[in-house]
Amino acid sequence: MDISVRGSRSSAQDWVRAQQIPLNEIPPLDEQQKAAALQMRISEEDYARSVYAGYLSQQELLQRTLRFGRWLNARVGERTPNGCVDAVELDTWSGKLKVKVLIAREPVIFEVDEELVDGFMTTGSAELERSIFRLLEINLPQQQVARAS
Amino acid sequence: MRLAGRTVTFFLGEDGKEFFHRITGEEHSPDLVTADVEETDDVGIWIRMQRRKSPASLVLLRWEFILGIELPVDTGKVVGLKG
Repeated sequence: MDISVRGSRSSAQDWVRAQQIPLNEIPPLDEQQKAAALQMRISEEDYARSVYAGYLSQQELLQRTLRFGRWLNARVGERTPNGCVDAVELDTWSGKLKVKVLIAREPVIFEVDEELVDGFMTTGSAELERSIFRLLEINLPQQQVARAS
Repeated sequence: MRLAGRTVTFFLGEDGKEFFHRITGEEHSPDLVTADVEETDDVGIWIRMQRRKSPASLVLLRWEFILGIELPVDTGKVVGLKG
């Protein structure tokens, strides 16, 4: 299963961590990032810290997306024996996860709201779980998906 | 557009310049400020600030202080792994 995160955004916790770390431990900016700092009239050090905070949060988002992908793959497998999740990509700009499911090697692609996934993964809410199952019902071939309990 | 967690440049109106002049204590009033956004609400934008020798803090920039916003688009940056 391919897991990816497009774009970055930082949490307050990672931002504070990036502010406190010694400058020599922060990866240097590449030329494109230096140009972005210039464009935004921000010092390279300040921008490097923001970029590093974004990197830290991106790794956390990657792990969160992986956990959801594994959970979803198990649910798809239970309900669609010849199906599996092939890829999940979180787009931080649109706030959606693009899910690619393979059913008998045929791809089916659909999107899930990041808020829905976050809410479910942090609360375990049965109602939110039903919403995700409903998305499977809507997007996967009807005869291959059993109704959520 | 979600601004939370992103680095954003704010172009300030006169009240915004005065506001930053007061909180930074610097002589020059900036026309623009680049900062990381914590969240937005009906009143304005909460930005993260790290002033020298002070602990990090959140500052509310009221909507009426802002003339415009510039946000770099980094859609090309993708990280991934095999799960």
